[in-house]
Amino acid sequence: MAATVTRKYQASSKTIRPWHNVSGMGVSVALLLLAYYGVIFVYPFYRAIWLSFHNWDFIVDPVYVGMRNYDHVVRDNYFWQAAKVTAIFSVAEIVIALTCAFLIALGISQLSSGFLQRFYLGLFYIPVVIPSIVSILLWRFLYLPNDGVLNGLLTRFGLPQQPFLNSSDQALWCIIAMVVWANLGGASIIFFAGINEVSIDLLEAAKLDGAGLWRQTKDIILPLLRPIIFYQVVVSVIATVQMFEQFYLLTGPGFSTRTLAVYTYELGFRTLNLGYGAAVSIFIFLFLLIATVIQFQRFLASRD
Amino acid sequence: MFSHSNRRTFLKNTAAASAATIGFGSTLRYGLAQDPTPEPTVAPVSVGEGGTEISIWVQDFGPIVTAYQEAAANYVAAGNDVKVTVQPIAFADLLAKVLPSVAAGNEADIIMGYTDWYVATDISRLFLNLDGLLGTQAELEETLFPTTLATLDMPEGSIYYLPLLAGARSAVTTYNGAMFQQAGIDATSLATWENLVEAGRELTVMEGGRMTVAGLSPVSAALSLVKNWVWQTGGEFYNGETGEWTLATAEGEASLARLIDLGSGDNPTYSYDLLSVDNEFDVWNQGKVASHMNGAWTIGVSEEAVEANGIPTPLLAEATNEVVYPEHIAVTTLSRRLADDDTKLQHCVGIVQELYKPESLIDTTNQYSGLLCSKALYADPKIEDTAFGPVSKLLAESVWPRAHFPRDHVANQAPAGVELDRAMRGEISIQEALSNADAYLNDQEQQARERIGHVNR
Repeated sequence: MAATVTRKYQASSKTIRPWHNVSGMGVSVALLLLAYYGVIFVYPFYRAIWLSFHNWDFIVDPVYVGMRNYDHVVRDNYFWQAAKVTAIFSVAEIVIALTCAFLIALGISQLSSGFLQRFYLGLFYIPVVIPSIVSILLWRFLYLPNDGVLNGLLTRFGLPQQPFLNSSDQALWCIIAMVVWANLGGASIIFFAGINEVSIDLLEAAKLDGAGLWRQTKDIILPLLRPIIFYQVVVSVIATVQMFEQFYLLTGPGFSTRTLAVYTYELGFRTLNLGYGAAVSIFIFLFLLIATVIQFQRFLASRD
Repeated sequence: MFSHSNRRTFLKNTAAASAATIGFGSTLRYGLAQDPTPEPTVAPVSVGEGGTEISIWVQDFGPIVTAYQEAAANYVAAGNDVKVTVQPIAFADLLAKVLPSVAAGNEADIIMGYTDWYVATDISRLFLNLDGLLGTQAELEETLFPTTLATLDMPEGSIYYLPLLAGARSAVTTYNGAMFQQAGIDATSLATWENLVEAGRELTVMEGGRMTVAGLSPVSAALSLVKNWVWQTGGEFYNGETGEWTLATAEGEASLARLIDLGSGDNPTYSYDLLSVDNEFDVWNQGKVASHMNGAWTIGVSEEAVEANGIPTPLLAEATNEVVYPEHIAVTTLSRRLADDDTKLQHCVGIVQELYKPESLIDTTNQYSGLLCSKALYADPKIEDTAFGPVSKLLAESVWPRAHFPRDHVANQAPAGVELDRAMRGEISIQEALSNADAYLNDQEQQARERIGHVNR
């Protein structure tokens, strides 16, 4: 009887105190993380939204301007110019980089020697570990219109010299080439890992059915890599839209290489229009959010 | 497929290969390329071991750093009980740092910056009012060129900055002494802009239909030149009362057309195949530009082979006003927090006074080739004996007396310059470029005025 009472008591106390077996340490860590997240993300995000309704330069009292900054963004030719540059860069970089990375990973996966696989992966991975500032300076040197390495090569092959970063038409593509080069290794490794996960039995069976590498890739490897491709695209969209130093240091003429990230920086730290800069950054955030949601939806739909 | 891989070996190999590549890259960077990108911020230098600690932020540009360090050292050597730390900061970083730091209340005690960084805000809330600390305006005008004290708004007639030096942008033409000498052209005898253009045409070299030497490049100073020429030909591009920018006038169009003609006329003196705004200085240092207007500071940091020298940019033959706009000026300011610490304030004033002594500034002209703002400096005969003293004196005494500043409120005028650059490249028409520039400048001006609560000062 006493035992029954005890069990009942325990059961009822469990109902009354649902957190009784939650560890204090766990709660502390969770609160700490929440506080950290609040300090580094939630509060700054709130302040950015608040700022986007004001005209402020760090020093004077903020002037409330209502929706004017947002209205201005919609009518701002410089914003749309920067958005266009960002979109071209993002699409081109992602398509070229992921295609090349997949082909490289596929090629390396076909090598029978483990040493050669490691060698080539290492080779393509080198740019990833080079600090971006070093890469940028190297490429700037390569692109010099006078006495630059690339123009030297073109001359050697009897081809006309190119202005590269001096040309409004070429500058953006010069930066795309550099960023593709810099990111190829990381994407290749991820694809390579994904290809390694594809069941050899499945591929052997396809081979027995007469499927060549093209059919194996199209009908087996690529469909199975869909989650990896999805991840790569989502991460790349965010990374390319936020990319800054490449455009800040490898500048092309006019506005040909001014992306939204650079434009926001200029608004905040060069023109002192922090409120307007905040409004632009909110637009970038919304764009990234919408792009990510759409990609998730498409991915989930394709999985179903 | 990666069955024999060993992660550790892979990482080791990658790290080794990367290190080798970085080493190779660095060799290319420092051994071959001549890059104008500022070096990374260097470590601060401290002088003295005294009880009062004073911090100074300066642009990471050799001559300026040296000037502030020597002023601090001299002040310490005079027996003052201070420890002064001079922190050089790269130009763009310093620009991005000053205002947020002031807002946060953790700025340095003494700050070197540029006037155009401060035009779009209320300077009276940014820095300490210097009235009564470093002399009255009348007293300062005795030792400094008076025009340099009128580059910014002066709320209630007070002074918030001390002008130090300037490159003067298009008010000065830097030329390749070796090329000019070889062609038998005496740059100092060029009386008008048209004479300078003729010299540029003579020095331009074309090979196989491609320009290999630009005789005269205005690309880095296009906006500055247009503003100067508008004034020189009797026009106006900024109305201080209303804050309206009007580059799109007959004078403005004629000015931009003049620049376009230099690049695409029958006898061009520059080509975008050879250079651009971003690499003009690189190409100059390669000996492929005979003259440019990137500022007098370039004379002192150019490659020796180009034998750089400078002249005041000659006025247009049709000029009716003898006036030049030297753009921004490097200035010294004091933190507002010093108002709460009199001891520290007195030490800071002492260091600044040390910096602006003619005998201190004379040393600066051993490294710096631009224009100093101190009138007293150039009155000292020893100026003739320093490396860049004579050219600095020639330029300063020509530019400052006829300098004029619009006292506008647009901190970043670069996008307006880009619009002119687009017209010079043939991407847009002259009218469109000037209208776009006006639209941008007016928008920025109005927003700045709204913040400041502008009243004409």
